[in-house]
Amino acid sequence: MSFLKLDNVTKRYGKSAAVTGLNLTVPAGSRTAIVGPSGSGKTTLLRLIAGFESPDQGSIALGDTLLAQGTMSVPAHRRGIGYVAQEGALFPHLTLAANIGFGIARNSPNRHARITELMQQVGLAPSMHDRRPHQLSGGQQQRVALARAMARQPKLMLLDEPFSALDAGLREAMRDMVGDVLSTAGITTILVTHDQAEALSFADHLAVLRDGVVVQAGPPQDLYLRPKDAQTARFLGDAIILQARLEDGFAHTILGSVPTDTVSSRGSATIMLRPEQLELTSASQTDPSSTTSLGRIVGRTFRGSTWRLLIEHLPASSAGLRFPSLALETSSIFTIETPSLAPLEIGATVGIQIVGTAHILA
Amino acid sequence: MSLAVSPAQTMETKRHAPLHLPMIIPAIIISLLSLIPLGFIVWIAIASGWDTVRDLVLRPKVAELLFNTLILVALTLPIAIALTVSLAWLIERTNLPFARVWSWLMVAPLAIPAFVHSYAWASVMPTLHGLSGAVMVSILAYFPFLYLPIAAQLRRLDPTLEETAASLGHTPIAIFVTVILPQLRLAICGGALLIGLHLLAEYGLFVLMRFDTFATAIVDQFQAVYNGPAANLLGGVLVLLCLVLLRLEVFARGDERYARVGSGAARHAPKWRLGALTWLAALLPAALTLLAVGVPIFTLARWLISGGAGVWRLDGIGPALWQTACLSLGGALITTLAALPIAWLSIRAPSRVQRLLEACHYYVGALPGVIVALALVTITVRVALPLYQTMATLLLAYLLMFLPRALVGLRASIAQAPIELERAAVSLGKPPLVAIWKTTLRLAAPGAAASAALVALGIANELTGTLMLAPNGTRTLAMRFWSYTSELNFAAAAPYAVLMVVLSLPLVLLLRLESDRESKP
Repeated sequence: MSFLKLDNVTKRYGKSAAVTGLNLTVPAGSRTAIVGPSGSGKTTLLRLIAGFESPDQGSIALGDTLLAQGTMSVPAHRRGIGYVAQEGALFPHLTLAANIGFGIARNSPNRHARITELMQQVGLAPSMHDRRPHQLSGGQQQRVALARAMARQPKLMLLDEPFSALDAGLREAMRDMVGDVLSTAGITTILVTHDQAEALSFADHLAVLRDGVVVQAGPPQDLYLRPKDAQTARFLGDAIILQARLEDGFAHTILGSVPTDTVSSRGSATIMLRPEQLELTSASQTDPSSTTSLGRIVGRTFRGSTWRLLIEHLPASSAGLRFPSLALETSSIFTIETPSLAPLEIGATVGIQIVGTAHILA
Repeated sequence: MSLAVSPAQTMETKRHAPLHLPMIIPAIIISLLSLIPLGFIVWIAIASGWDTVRDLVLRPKVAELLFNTLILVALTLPIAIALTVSLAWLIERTNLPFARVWSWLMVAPLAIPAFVHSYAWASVMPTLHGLSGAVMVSILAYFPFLYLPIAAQLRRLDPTLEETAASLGHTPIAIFVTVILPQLRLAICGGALLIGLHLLAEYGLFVLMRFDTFATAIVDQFQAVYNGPAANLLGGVLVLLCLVLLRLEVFARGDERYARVGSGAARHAPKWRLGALTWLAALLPAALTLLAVGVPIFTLARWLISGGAGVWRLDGIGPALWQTACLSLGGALITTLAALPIAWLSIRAPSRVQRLLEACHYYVGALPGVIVALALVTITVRVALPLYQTMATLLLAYLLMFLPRALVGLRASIAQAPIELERAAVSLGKPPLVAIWKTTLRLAAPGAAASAALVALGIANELTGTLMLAPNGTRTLAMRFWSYTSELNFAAAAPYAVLMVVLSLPLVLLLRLESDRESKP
């Protein structure tokens, strides 16, 4: 069931268009992440939904309510959409409790109880009631901002890179906390971020934004494994992009042959593999006559649970001989992470085996 | 510049006040100097004895002066605040046509000395006098002191706060009251205090408006009886008034932190569309420009035309111009340097001692020039005769009078330089004073230049103190203007007024540009 629907929305600043003919549907109760590089228009998109900007064209609807159509637009204060800004945007002249209670009517009988309840929900100790924003840590400020935005029980919550100012450890904990709190409260959430890892782990619905349009939207796993194009593939994680020749449901590449996720097409194509689909075997165990290709380790970085290996592909393989026109599109060097239990030395020759299926890029 | 300290001493200083000591000592010296006029008044009060005090202070005339002064402040400040907040909001945050032009015109009245405003109104509309005249001309002459900080703060506000408030269901009007106004509080308090102090100290404006305040009464007394206790004791009451005003400002300012929490988004706030109200709204700045800039220019032009070429006497104008320029720039430099330590302390190490030091300056700054001058005259004559009627004494008087003006600007610009930079410099091996010099003062330099400009502006237009303290032969522009005006020779006075305005113009431009620069988000 779609809940928020943007239809052919365009917004220009002067001559440059921030968002052009954008379509987006956000399912009810979902945690949607909008991810894109800086300048892709994601902040503009969020501001359009919040009502801080009005679109030049197109319509925005929330449930049965039309929020904006053409240049007519419901002002932000009548939309009932929650908003958490990048660094919290706490009112510096108000106490923590007054910040949280900002959206609750002054004469509301259970105002105080509601503030206490919200503080508890986001994990703020009651003793912090009278603190000022500058006395709070970055994480606490974000908690206050979240509680403040939840006070009016919005149907939709917008998070504008709320974790980017926090340090790495805290960021993950905050992300989980925010996700849990909002899910429990049953609030549909849209997170805007440039951090693909954050988007993948937070969302159950992901939209990739580029140059003001939604390039692809869907469940995060789908987008990760079956991206539409090479740019999206690389944006969502490390990718190995190869030229291939398609034949009977197999893609033949210089790294060997691998089944494809769709069997219909034939001829030459570009395929994508995720690095975790490459398995390394010790070269001595490799049967020289098999189709397994060979690589040499040229560099490595210890990362705790894994080694990040730099592998140079050795071209003298049978696959390369069979299809001389095929080459690694990226370069002949790629990186793979392997478990750190069995370290491989620099200079060692390894066999490379592909597991899973190859994804054919458009 | 570094402090020669052994490692043990370094530990010692660190524990108490890492960087404060080298700043506290000059601050204390300046404050002690500032106390000279105050000490003088206390000494006069004690020397006069209780009976004289009672005879001279507890009388109907003083009650009348008190009422006049209070009602003047109580009427002028609220009107000026409401007026400037509306103006600044219209000019900075709406699509008002010609907003840039208006924002320059709103600073322009500063180039016209208060007593020239008054002279213009007195000759255009002789019926305007008394309380209504005093309030009106005060607002026209002084409102830029409020406009500048309020407009700068409006440009600096983080629009995210307003957007967040809107997402929490607040209407635009509610946002103005609950989010924008509280963030203007510091700017309003600072500007209102500055105007309040001017109202208490101004002499020329109120004489021409025929409105008696403490300041005019003190000068009258002084001119009637040289070095008489009556003037000095009235000054004592005035000091009490200043104390009340200062307390009010501290109370209104509160102790909140005004810096943004976090860096925030570097965005300009969107402008409100005025729609059908556009031309109605444009009437407000247009009317104010007409009254505060148009009327003085019109009057001066009229007198210049009626006076013809005869009023431009180069033998009088040349020396006056040169002396005024030298005194203004020299005085501004000395005053700004003297204000630095106390401004730095008030931001970096607010404490009871610091508040006490700051208070010293404010009290003296609120004293009319004549009190400072009288104190310095008496002291130089009694204690240090060689300094009597010298440039050194005159510059000291300027320093004492204009220190608060320098402080307001300096404090704001130092507050914008993060303390972390000073700490980083110290951690990179710079001694405390060098660290402050290379970080905070470097960043505050444009602000310091602006407050120096304000001081120079003040000195160029200062009248009464200069009249009394200047060495023989000194004739500044203000002195010439006043003597011709006193003789009701308005035409002969006009060239001097024009020159004061012209001389002040670059300073006003500088001030305006500075406020633009520092409010870029």
